[in-house]
Amino acid sequence: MRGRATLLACALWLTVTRVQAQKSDVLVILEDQQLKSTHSIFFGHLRQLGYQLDYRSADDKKLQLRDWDSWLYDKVICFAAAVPEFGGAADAQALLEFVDSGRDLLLATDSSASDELRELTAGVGVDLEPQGRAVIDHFSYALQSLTVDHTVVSGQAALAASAVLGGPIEAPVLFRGIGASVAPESELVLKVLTAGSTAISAVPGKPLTEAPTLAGNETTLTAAIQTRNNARVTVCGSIDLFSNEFFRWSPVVVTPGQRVGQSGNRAFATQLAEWTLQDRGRLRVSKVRHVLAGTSETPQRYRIRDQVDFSVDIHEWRKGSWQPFKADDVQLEFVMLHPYLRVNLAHNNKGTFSTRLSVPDVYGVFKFVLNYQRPGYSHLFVSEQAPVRPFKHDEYERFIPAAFPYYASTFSMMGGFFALTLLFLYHKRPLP
Amino acid sequence: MSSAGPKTAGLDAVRGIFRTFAQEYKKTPSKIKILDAFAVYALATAALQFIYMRLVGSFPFNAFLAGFLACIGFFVLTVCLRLQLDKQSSDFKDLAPERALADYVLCNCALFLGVWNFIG
Repeated sequence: MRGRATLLACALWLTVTRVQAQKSDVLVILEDQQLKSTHSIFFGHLRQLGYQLDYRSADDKKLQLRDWDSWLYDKVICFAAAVPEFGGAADAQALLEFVDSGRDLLLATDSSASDELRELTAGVGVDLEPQGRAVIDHFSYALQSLTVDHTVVSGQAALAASAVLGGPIEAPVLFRGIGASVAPESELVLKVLTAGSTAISAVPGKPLTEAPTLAGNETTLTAAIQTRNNARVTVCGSIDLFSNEFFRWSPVVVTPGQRVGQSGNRAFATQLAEWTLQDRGRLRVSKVRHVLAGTSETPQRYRIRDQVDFSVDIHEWRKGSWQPFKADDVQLEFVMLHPYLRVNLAHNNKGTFSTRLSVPDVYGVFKFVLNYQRPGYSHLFVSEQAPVRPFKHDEYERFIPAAFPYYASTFSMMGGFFALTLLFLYHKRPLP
Repeated sequence: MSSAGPKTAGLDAVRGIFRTFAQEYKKTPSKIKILDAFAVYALATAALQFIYMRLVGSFPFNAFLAGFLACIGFFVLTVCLRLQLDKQSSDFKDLAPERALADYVLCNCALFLGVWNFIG
């Protein structure tokens, strides 16, 4: 009896701890616990957004992402570099599976990134430079108070990434760390921050004897990836980019003689984190409806040349609630193997996108397809089957005036046939 | 004579052909003549419909096809009946005329059934 009670208590305790683990929904893996204080502004901002941060050391033996089949966290922030391998059950493979399950990962590293981390970033299509190399820019660097360190370079927020960053960031974003290359044919990786045209990727302090493998705008400093299942991964080559020191860096002097008030790091880092943790650019589609024009019924199948009203609600997650999405480039396709129609959807400022289309003069099994993929927004894919049938035999027009001569000729032929048969049967003179 | 050019000679030849044809045609039994008359009538109706279609446009195309093919079909069946009955130039010497007519009626019924289905 007593043994059973202990067992019950144990089970209860286990459930309670599991629930607690689930509540702190952001796992923060830190290489060094000092980062908690050196990056306090960044983490403070996340807590302000309502996230519960669960700080763990990268080599924590009890580090685990999942408990059997249930994930303990929805989001992971990982600031690590030289750590040879993560403690506990978390490793590159586990983190990739975490992303595969549709969860989000913000990863920052630096020049000493370990093989484990390289495997992880390669898994999402970002190839870090070899260990020890850093992004150096001898023409455009930030001057520190005393020493001149050409490894603090200013990155340029890519224009294409303004949806990720919530708008263009004008101030230079300071960066100290490792560059990465992204395959040009990569569809899912978006370069958010790239180095200036005079930057190179090399080992600092060593003379450069051959041409650098990575240089100029090709050097990706931060890449944002949105996978096909809408999981978001951000890979940043610099942990310092998120630090209080870089946030407060002012005045920024980017040589030669160019002086900018404040670094753009704070805006960049917080916006980037908000995007990665699905606080912005998240779309939701609901209420897919298609009805015969003018009615409210969805027939089992449409008829060729029918008029169809299609509408769909799209909402955007903004500032903690679902707001109507506004865009003029949402398109709908009417597809049977290939699109027969591709029309723009008009919206009414309340999130309802609609259009009226006329079914083409072809019958078969069609689909309404809405495939909306824009950088920085979650992918929307809606596919609704809609078979199209031809006219029924009694749906054609009857007794068309233009066809009266044809009707008449048919009657005349029948009359002729009748007359001919009669004449033939009752004709007196026999055949020879 | 020699004053008559090759043109009038050609005309005369054509006239001769027609004359011979008319003379020979008189020998045709009257039952066959009736068949010929109906065949010509059917062809003329088909031609009229074709002209009408070219003028008005092919909108109820199924109706046009039905009307036109009714005429053509009727013409073809009538010609077939004629072939079976004309004992002078026929391969159907053993076929009774009653049997030929029965075939003809059956085929026409099938033809008009199809035509009414198609006329819309």
